[in-house]
Amino acid sequence: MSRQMTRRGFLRTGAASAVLASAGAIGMTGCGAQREELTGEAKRTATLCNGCSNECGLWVNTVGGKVHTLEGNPDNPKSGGRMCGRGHGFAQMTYSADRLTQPMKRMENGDFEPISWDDAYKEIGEKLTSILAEYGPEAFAFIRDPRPNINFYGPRFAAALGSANIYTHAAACNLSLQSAYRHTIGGGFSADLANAKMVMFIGRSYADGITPADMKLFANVAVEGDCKIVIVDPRYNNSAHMADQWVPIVPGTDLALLLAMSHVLIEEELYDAKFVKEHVLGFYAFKKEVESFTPEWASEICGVDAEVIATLAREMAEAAPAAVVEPSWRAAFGCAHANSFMTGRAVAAFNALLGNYGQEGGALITSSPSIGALPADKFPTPPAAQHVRVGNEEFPLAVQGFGTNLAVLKAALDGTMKAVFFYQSNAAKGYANPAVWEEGLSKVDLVVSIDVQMSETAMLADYVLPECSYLERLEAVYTLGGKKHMVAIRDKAIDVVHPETRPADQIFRELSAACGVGEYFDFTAEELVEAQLATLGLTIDELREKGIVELPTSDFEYGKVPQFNTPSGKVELFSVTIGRAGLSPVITWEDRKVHPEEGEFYFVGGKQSIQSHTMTTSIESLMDISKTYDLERLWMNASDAARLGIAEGETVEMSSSEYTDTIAVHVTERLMPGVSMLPRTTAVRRPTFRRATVLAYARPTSFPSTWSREWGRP
Amino acid sequence: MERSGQSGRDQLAGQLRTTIVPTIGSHMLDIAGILLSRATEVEYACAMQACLPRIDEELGVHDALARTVPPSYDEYRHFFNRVLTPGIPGSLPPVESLFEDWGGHRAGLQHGQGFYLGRSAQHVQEVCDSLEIEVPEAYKAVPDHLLLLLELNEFLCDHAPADQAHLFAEEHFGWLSDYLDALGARMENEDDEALASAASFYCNFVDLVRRVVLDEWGENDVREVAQSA
Ligand code: SF4
Repeated sequence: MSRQMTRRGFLRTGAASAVLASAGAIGMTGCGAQREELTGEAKRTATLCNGCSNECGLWVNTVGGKVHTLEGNPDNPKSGGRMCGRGHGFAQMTYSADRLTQPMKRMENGDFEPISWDDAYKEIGEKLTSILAEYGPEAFAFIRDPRPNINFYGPRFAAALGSANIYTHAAACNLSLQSAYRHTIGGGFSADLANAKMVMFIGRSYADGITPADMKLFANVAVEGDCKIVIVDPRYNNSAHMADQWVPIVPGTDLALLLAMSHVLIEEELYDAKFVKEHVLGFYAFKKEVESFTPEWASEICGVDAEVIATLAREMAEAAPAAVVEPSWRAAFGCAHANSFMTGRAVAAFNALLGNYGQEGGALITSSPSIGALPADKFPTPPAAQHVRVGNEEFPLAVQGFGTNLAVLKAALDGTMKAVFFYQSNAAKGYANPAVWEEGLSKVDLVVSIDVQMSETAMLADYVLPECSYLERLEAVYTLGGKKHMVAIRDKAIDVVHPETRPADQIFRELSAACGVGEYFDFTAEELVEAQLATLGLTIDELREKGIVELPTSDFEYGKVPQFNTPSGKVELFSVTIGRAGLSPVITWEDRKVHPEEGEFYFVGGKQSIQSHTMTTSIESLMDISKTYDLERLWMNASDAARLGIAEGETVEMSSSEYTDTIAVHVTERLMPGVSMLPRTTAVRRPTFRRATVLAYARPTSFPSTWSREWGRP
Repeated sequence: MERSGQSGRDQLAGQLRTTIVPTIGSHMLDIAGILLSRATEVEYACAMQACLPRIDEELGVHDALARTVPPSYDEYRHFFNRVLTPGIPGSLPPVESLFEDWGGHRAGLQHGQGFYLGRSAQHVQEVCDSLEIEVPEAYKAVPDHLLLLLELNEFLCDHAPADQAHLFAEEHFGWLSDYLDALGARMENEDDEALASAASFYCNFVDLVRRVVLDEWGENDVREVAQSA
């Protein structure tokens, strides 16, 4: 219609007036009632939640192509048929106003303007290839939140461009701990909670960092079982309600506790001498080292009564091998302190003294299923990069699969990193020291962020490429290791809501073509999944029907001591590799880097069970829970509050070397004196973000806080 | 439509409704096309020069909008980038679904406000489908974008029975009050002057649209608006 064209012609009305003329009405009356019901075909699709890295198995129920409800897949060991509240809330992101709906380019004045996919690819491709030509592939880095799909596409993309610089967010999470386990017992382990007689959790709370099946198991064991559960944490966390004993401890001194417990086992000959003889390297060096680490010595440092320390050690020995120090994750010693790496080593060592590896109720080292080699004609493997990954020399102990993203930041700050791509990872707010990341990224010539919603990192990017949400895409298959091997699918439950958003497989296919390496991505997600499953003897239809399928490849057996993937094949309490990296080869005491001065507090973080870092804070219903239950307050012990004259709910100013802000105080007995605690999804204001007022992020480490992560310092 | 406790003005407006439907006028619609989408500099300049002064004539009244010096193209573009572009933190794209409650048992997962493809979008899509009107692909997620609502409203005013056109207007333009409130809150502490001035122009425009479409103009003006249709 010409009239519309003058107004830029949005609606194409075609036969509309003729329809009206013939029908005479458009059924407008009563439309309000019609609008109350979702109508259309009902469908159920197997997928995986993306609300956190657990990626629980779900069934998505849709009506008329819209998401209606979600339910946990009972066959999935993470969900166990349930979802947590965060998972339900996060699904709302699919329809959220905060979603990115089109590719965007940052203009000189800082504004973002839409750009077509073709133009975005062309400009990114030209800039990236010219950076690679001028500075080499080592000037390009790719940082991701490591989920199965991007674990396939991200490293392949970097490798296709000749770069070895592929990283995860782990240096802001649990890299110290994971690297410690890597070099002490060959990799991670899990606690066999279901069969244990005693479990010690250090800084980890299943009731706060929820995995539905683990939470259910924990509650069953804690409430009905005969397992003694000990929570070591400066905070009486939400798991402590169900535990047998709460052991408040000075933040960052868990190492002292572990060394002293080891001392007791060795001094009183309560350790498993047979296991130590056969499977431990460096026992005598360790024994010598811990000689002076008595419970009395540790008590002075960690604030736990010496008798409590000795009793805990004896009780663990009594329950062994069905006793275990749980591996923890991030909060206590994931990477928070200068001694986090050593603390992880001490956890692995203490478990070795208990002789619990591979034993029922002990520490389980299990394997994961592997996808076989894909047909080379369709899925050619890019050649290996010809340079050493930036950071590998400086941080040689980091788990190879994770890398150290701090090395990227350092290279950005010194001007040698020229292009950085982020995939759903918010370094500029979710890691540490936002101001430093902002400064670093401002020096990078090309920053690209692929994400579903805008983040602080995307706000610093030159190009933002919008991915569709997890409910709108099919992804590479997800393998689950453990006592059982399984493979699960994240399938597309609905069509894309926003037509200008695309799934990762399409983005990498098109982007790689624009960068001149399209031959490594010349396949669809469906073709990839089919090829991956073919190597496991499965079809995509089988997996779609069940969501998750068990594989016959696990060789786990209780009672069998696992292979330790260390240079000696043993638990290494003395490590040449670690010694060569400049750290103490034997497990020993190291202090945390900073202690509070007069008038200062230790500062720790705690998890809100309904938030996953900055990722979920745009979900209004989840933020409502945070606000309704006042989960954003700064915790302070009642005696400290009384001394300072601070009342419950009062607003105080808190300050560190990095940041100052005001916040309401929660006065409580659930926190040891001298410590302050802030839920991790709180603390730094995100004023321009829609849902968030006071929220988002602290890197609660020490107070004053520091950005260095000395888990593998040179 | 049943009404209770009608004022004289409502009654008069009601009578007018039965015979003549108010329309927002082609020049306002032209400006809407410019303000609610990414116009080029030339399109923007033409609209401001040619159309803005004629709003007064169309309405037969003087409105704040017609007396406002419009923001420059760059200022308006900056405003569009920051405030009307989806996905930008703090942005408020003019989409009805985002300001209605998904609520009710149909909603399943979604509760509260701030979601695309709500009931209003579904309804607009149904109306378009029934009229064999094609919603452009780029607006697939936002059939209830203000621009499309205005287009559809105009079309219905021209072609549909008056009561149905009115019902559509009443159902799909009430959210603009909330929208204006949200814009007001968004701009409250804005220290970017260019942004604030473009926002004020935009708000005046949206408010004018709201009042005209919802027939909140005042007795005489309603008549004039109606007569001009
Ligand atoms: S734990 Fe909750 S948020 Fe995380 S994947 Fe499972 S259901 Fe989703």
